[in-house]
Amino acid sequence: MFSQFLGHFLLEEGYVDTATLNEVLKYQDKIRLKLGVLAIDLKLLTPEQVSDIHNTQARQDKRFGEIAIEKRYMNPDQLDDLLFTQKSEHLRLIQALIDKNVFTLEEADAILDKYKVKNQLTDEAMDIMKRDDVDGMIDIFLDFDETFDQETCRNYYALLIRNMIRFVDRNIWFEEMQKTKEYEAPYLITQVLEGRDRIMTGIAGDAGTLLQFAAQFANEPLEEMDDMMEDAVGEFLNLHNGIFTVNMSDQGREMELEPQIFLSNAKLNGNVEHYIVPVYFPYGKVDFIMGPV
Amino acid sequence: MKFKVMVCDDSKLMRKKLKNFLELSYKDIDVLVAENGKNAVEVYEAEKPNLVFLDIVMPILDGIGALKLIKAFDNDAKVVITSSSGTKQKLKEALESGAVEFIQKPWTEDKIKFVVDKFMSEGE
Repeated sequence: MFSQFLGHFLLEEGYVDTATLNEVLKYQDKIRLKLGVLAIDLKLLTPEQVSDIHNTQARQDKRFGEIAIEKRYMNPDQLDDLLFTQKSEHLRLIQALIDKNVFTLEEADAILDKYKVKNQLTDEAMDIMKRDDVDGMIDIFLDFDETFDQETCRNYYALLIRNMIRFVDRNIWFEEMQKTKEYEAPYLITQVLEGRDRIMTGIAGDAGTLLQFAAQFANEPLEEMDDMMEDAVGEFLNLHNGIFTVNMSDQGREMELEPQIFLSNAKLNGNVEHYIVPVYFPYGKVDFIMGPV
Repeated sequence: MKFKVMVCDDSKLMRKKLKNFLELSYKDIDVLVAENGKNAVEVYEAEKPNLVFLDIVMPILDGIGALKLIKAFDNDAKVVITSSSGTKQKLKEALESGAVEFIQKPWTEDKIKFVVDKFMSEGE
């Protein structure tokens, strides 16, 4: 994910144009190593163990390493080694930029420093970014202080980013949270969580972006804005909210899910604030909305 | 006689995915579909399938409501609840209402096959 944050910075500062960045990101994808592949390569896990961990991960909100330890496939020292090796993953974008003759190694290093200064990141925060530590990134970029329920909102969005990486696309980056009473979108899919409070959650975007988002999640060649597209976006929201309710239930807070509602030319207005996190995919922006009902 | 399975989910996509998987995995299987709890009760009463996969969060009548009506009609009905919300409370509610299994979404092919094989062999 750090590659996408950095890529956006390179574009914004005029270091690269969109075409070059897309080419570099595409190239970088080819040389990216997933944790499972890396573990097999380092002979820490067998392909069967990796497959078992991935199957478990699809049902539980747990990290790859956490499951590997629980299943006694590796010990904590081996996990440290694996994560240490993976930390160098952020260098892949730099490597790709150098390979494609966009920058020299020295220039790339200077750009990383400029990114750090522009975003007012400490050394520790920069390490969090380089490690693609989702929880850490959430704390760096999203301010939950003024939300209706700080802990719930933070947990919700941290899980959302993890679920997007897990079920849709890892090539994402997000912007600061916006707070608004009025909101409009060409398409909006909502689902209410009913418990101690009623909370509205939603996914909004334009037709083209939501269609690609839906196709990626469903792993189906969706081409039209039809009920299949609505179902796929709605099912992602339902899946994410379902895992969220399990997490909340484990903390002693029960929530029920209501059926999703699909709206076109949607408008939200009224007296309550809605909290919106814009998430950027390679094909466009999707807004993730949350607010009290 | 073919083994009859009913898939009930308000999502057309999820119905299609599970139906396709079942039809590709088993030769002698009939897959019926229903799009909400009310529809599931109607299809069950008309067709008496050997096994039912039932989602929970659905409009008109939810999965737990449909499960109770199906069990009232046929106490031997084999109903598997499939839901993205796998809280202990939901699991308890489903089992107390008569479900034979609870599968948290996203389902895996192994889990679906395990359940179908189990009830297919019980019926032999």
